[in-house]
Amino acid sequence: MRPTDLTFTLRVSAIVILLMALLSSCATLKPDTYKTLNATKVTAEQIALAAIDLHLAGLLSPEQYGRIKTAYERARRANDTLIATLQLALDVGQDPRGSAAYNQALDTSARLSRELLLLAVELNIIPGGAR
Amino acid sequence: MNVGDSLIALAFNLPRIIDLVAHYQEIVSRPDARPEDAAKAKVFLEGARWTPFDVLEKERG
Repeated sequence: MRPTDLTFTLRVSAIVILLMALLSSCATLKPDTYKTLNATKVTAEQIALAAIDLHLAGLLSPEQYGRIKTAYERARRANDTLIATLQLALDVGQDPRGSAAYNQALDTSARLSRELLLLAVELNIIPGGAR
Repeated sequence: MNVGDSLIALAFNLPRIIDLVAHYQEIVSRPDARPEDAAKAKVFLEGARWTPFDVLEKERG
């Protein structure tokens, strides 16, 4: 990847991340839950890909790389749990907003996603930003 | 396709994706959703799962 590509990627990612951080700060189901889920997915995967590229380029130490990988996987599992609660709500035909499991999963997913974003900023995977 | 190209493609397709999302967000919020609509929403939700880090590594490596 050329340096200009990386700069462009990180700038665009920072914009997406700012949007995602704003949306994920809401701990209750809003009409844009699906948008948030997908914005979060795109953002998280771009962070992971940027981290992999930086690691391959020798710009991220093994320790830093391990931290971002761990943070990503924790947030990913929380996101899977959130999706499972939404799918369960569909199975039983209930509005998920009344489900304690859903609300707890949403809180956990939002918290771990924010931690991933903040770590990405700390490690300069995302310059500037989401703070 | 590198990451920059991917983001450009995403930016152009985002309006279409958001339309799709808006459709399914209505489906899931209705207690009387038809089974076939719920099934579509479940498939859509599956698409919101993140790719495991190891898989991204292999794709990149």
